[in-house]
Amino acid sequence: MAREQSDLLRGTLDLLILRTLSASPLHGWALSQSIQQQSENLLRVGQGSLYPALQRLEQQGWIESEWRTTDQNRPAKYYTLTASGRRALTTETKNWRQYVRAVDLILEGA
Amino acid sequence: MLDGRPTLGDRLRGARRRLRAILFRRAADRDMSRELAFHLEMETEHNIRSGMEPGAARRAALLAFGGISRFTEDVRDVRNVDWLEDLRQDLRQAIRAFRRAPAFTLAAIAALSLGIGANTAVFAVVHAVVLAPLPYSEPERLVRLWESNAGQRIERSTVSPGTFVDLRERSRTLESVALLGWRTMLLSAGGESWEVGAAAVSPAFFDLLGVRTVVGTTFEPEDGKAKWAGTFDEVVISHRVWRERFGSDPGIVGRTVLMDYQWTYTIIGVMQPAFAFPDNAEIWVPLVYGRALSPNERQYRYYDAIGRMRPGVTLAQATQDAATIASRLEAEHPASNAGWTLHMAPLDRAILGNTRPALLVLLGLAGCVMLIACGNVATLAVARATARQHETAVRVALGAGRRRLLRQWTTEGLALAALGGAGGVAVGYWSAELLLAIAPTDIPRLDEVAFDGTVVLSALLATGVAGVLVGLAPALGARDTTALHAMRSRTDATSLAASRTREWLVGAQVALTLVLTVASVLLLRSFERLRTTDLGFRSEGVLSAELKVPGGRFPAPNRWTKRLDYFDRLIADVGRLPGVRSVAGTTTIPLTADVGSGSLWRTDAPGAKGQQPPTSAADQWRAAIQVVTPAYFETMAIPLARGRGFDPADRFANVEPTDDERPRPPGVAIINEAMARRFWPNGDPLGTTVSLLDDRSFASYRTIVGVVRDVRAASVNETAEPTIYLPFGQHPGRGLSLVVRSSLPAAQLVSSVRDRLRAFDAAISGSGVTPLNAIVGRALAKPRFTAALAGSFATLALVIAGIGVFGIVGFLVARRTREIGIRVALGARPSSVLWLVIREGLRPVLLGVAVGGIAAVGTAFAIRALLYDVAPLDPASFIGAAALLVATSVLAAALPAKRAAGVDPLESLRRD
Repeated sequence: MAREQSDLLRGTLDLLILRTLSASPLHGWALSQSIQQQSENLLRVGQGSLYPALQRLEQQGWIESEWRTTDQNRPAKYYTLTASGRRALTTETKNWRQYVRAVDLILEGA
Repeated sequence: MLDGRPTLGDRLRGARRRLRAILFRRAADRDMSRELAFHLEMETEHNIRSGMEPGAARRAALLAFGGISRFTEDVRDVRNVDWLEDLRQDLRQAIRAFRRAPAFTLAAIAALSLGIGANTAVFAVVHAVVLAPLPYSEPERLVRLWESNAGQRIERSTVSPGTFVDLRERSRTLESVALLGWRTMLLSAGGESWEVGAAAVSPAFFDLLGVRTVVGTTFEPEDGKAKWAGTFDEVVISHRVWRERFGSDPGIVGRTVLMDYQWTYTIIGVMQPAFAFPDNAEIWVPLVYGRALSPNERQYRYYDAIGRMRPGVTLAQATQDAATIASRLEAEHPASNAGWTLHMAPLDRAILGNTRPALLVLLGLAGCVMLIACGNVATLAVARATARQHETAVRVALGAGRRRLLRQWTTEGLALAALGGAGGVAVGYWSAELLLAIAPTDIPRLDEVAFDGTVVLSALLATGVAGVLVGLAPALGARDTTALHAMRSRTDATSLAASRTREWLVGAQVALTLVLTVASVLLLRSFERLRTTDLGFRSEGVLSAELKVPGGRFPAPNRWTKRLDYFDRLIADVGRLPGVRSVAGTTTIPLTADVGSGSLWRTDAPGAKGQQPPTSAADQWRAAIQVVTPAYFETMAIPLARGRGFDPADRFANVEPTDDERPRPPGVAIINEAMARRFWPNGDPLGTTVSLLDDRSFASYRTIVGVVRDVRAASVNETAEPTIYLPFGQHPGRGLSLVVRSSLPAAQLVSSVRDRLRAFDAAISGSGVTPLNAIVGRALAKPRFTAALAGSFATLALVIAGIGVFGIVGFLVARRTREIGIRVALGARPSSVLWLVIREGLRPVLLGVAVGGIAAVGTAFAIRALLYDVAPLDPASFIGAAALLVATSVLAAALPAKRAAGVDPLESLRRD
């Protein structure tokens, strides 16, 4: 049960990361802040989930990382969406919408 | 396709990245560390911007960092691809960790090598000697038989031919029974003579054991006939004798050899290779008894007996059956069998005797050493895990699951144990050689000791146990490791669980060490008691010469007279050597062989008449019989308690046997105090007349003329048996060995005595010329071996436990430097700081002593059979062992504690 839940959440987190990075390359902290703000503080991403997710996505080839300097001239690791990441975002978004719709249908139909 | 599947290029890039991550893991780790630190800073600044105090901001950031939700623990480390890679990674990680901490690694490997090595070496011996079945067919059905007589206080007597024949004819539980006798003989063939161990055995002996000849046959079976059909002058030789003395001649059967320069025997068979039972026998001659027996053959309990149980019969059933037969014999032959019963034990245990418990105890003690070594390494590993908490926390932050970390630790433990195990096999191999070199040669089956697969397997097993113990301990110790600790100050990076685990581990080591120490102190004290036991004779300055004079030297007629004369001349001849004070002859030299025993009775006992034993078996006594020349007591320095010793006048004018009608002259005898106490508890034995069963051809009866002090003739740890001494001049029935007292050190005399013996008679086998001290030393070899080994195990354990205490106190001091600094700043005296630290360090020690004390009581009772003159609960041993252990611990704790006492308060406070 716990595993299914975590898989679900993991998939969701991946989607959120991909979506957020599609706007612009970000470092980890900014990424988590962005997700938090966009969700109007409903979603908080702990580091324990964020960094493993970033690792995983990078290994899948959906994102790339690079050390750059921030506005305040500090080194930080920036993540960029790759071409296949962009394709994945499209597919995953479509999947997610279908999924939400299916759940909605059931919830409303009941 | 516009789905999210990665293109080939993406895949390749991903794979390359993954590969890099695996190959350059340390770089990847550093990278991750930097990234996380950056994250933490950003979070802290963010908190400050939202109005928090800097301190609170950092704490909140840390909290958020550590607030990893439950499910992340289930997330696999994303870098991992499969278990094989995990394993390789873990191993690489382990090797890197070892390289970073060479001192720890070397100490751990050394400790484990010693522990596993000691264990393996002792196991190699125990396996071959105790555990491996006897190399005969279905050895579990083989038994050894004894007669016993509670009334005469005889626990284990050899068996009479009468009892043997009745067992053979009547037993329904024993498939076959065989008698065995053993002595050395002089064998001559092809112009050469040499001494061989000769076993006289029943014809059934070979089939009973299930051994075969490679050439020829064995003896004609007895087959329940009244009279045996075979010939007596046949001999079966060992494979080795066949190979070494007869060049493996295939046509050996039918060749003749001369025995003891006297009898011609025909070789009829060669045994299978390596067969040398009993007692390294090299030849076997027939020992046959048909159903027709003389009354004496029920009296003489001379022979060892072995049997094979029928399939499916248990030892208890066989024993019961034998006891039933024995009680029937009591009724049928009261004169010889009243009070006698039969009992048996598995042959392998009977062969081992007291060696079995000693070896098992040593194996247990070696096991303790191994566990202590494991505990020690585990303690070190916990300490290291604590020190590596930062690394751990980073990995947890990265999503490494608990199981994953646990596996990493176990892998490290196993890797460490594997190195220790490899070292252990090497140490074990050399130690086994060493063990064999110093082991008493009379341990049976030592020649079967081999460093074989089973032994290596035992080392592997020990390695596995060590690996799990060493691997699990730090995992337990670090169970509350969370990412929260990661960013904490490194010097404070310890968890309560870790230090508690360490304390438990040290306590367990101390407990085991106490068990070991108590056991070895008990064994050492026993040995000391044994060594200083008054044997009843003085061995210093005495040389013993065990002689085998061939029977052919005394041909009929007048054989006895010739023997008497021969030894008279020999003793006089040796007595003329420079430095020799006195020379005496004796049938047995103390501590070398079983003293023959026989039946005797008071001449005035009811029913006794001449050579006729008394009617009541209770009036038939049993005593060791030793025939000596007059100077024996003086040479051996055995004091006379009462009466007189023998003098040259105690000699018959004619010692040749005559026909039974002619009365023999009366003779004299001397008894020992044990015999006086047993048979004359209130009276005076002097002047009493006794008859000996097998003395009839020499003396009609004997008057007791003296009582001498007891001598431990059979073994060092058994008090003297009742013994009767007869003068050789009145009983030259058997050949003598010599004892020589000199004013020179005995060792200097060895070669001159040997030369003199050869010059006197070239046929004498002079191989047995030995200082009596060496014989006493040999008799003490087994307890010395046990005590020495236990002592070295205990020393090893003390050192290892001391290192454990040293480690934990050192760790305490390092952790509490700041606190100690404050105490010193507030005016604590160095001595009180010293005491504070030592006290804390000793807490697990005292706990271990308490637990170990209880375990040691159990152990002491378990090794009771090996103790001599020391009670299992000997207070001195327990207190001494505990004191030794506590003293070692205090010493080990004092070193780091002194460092604590010298802490400079300013320095320590500035350090954080």
